[in-house]
Amino acid sequence: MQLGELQQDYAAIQAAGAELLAISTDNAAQAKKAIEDVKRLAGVEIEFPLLGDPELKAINAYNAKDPLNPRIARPMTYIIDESGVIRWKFLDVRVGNRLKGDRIVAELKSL
Amino acid sequence: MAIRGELTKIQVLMALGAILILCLGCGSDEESIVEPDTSTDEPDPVVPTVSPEVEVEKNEEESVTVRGLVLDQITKNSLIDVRVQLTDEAGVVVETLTTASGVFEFKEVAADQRLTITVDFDEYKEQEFTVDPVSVGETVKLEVELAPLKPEQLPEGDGLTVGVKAPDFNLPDSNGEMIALADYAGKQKVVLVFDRGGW
Repeated sequence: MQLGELQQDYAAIQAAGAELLAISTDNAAQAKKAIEDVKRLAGVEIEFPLLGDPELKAINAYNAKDPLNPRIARPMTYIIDESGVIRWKFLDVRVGNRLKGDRIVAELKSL
Repeated sequence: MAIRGELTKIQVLMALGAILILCLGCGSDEESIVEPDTSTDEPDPVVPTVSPEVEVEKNEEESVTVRGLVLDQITKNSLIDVRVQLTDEAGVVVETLTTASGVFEFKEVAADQRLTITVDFDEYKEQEFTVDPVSVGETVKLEVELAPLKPEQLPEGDGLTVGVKAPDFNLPDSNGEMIALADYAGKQKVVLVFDRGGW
């Protein structure tokens, strides 16, 4: 899913008691550029942290490396509870099953 | 004529074989990737599979209804988009559906026969079980608990399973400030999105 779209649900995610973090292989400069691009093209200001994992440390730890392009992450989303346990997961790669921000909010509320 | 025909077939097969060998040769100059052999070990669930709880109650229909709920065995969360298949006594697939909000329902099922239900979800151990025959006007209610597979049993790039401890990380944001998952422990939930980056 697009980070600009995710921003639309950021307030609702926070209201549901969660922080939103995005991880990609982009470094800080690339992340800054991404934020500027989204602002310019979509008129949306990304307020949640974009974390840079150019060495794929977290991406590998979460088995989130794209099998078709091992240099980048495969889109997937987790909800991790206060005790550090993964409570929900969504793989964006399933055909016809694109994640929407309101689904994340609904899942947060159901936990 | 018959012998000649056979020979021609063999010649064609040999030619196809030669082409196949050539094609295999074409691909082999790419970097060789050693795939771990996972075909031999049958994945074991983290916890043993639990037989579903079955209840039978009266309904108002002229047929049998089979209704169920699919849950994660560890977290007890309902599972969405789980494939459920109903097969009759003769082995014919009656219907296949996916769960919405964890619930599935098969209506107008033929009565007085043993039914087989298969429940399958990507990161869970598949379950297959039979339901004893019930009469017209009865509803079979089931609660199916699926056991998540171990993280190392998931295919490459399929992430981790629900119910496991999330690995910690400590990574810089776009301002260079370090953020760790541990910063939120005991305080807040975290929605963690992995993204392709580089738009």
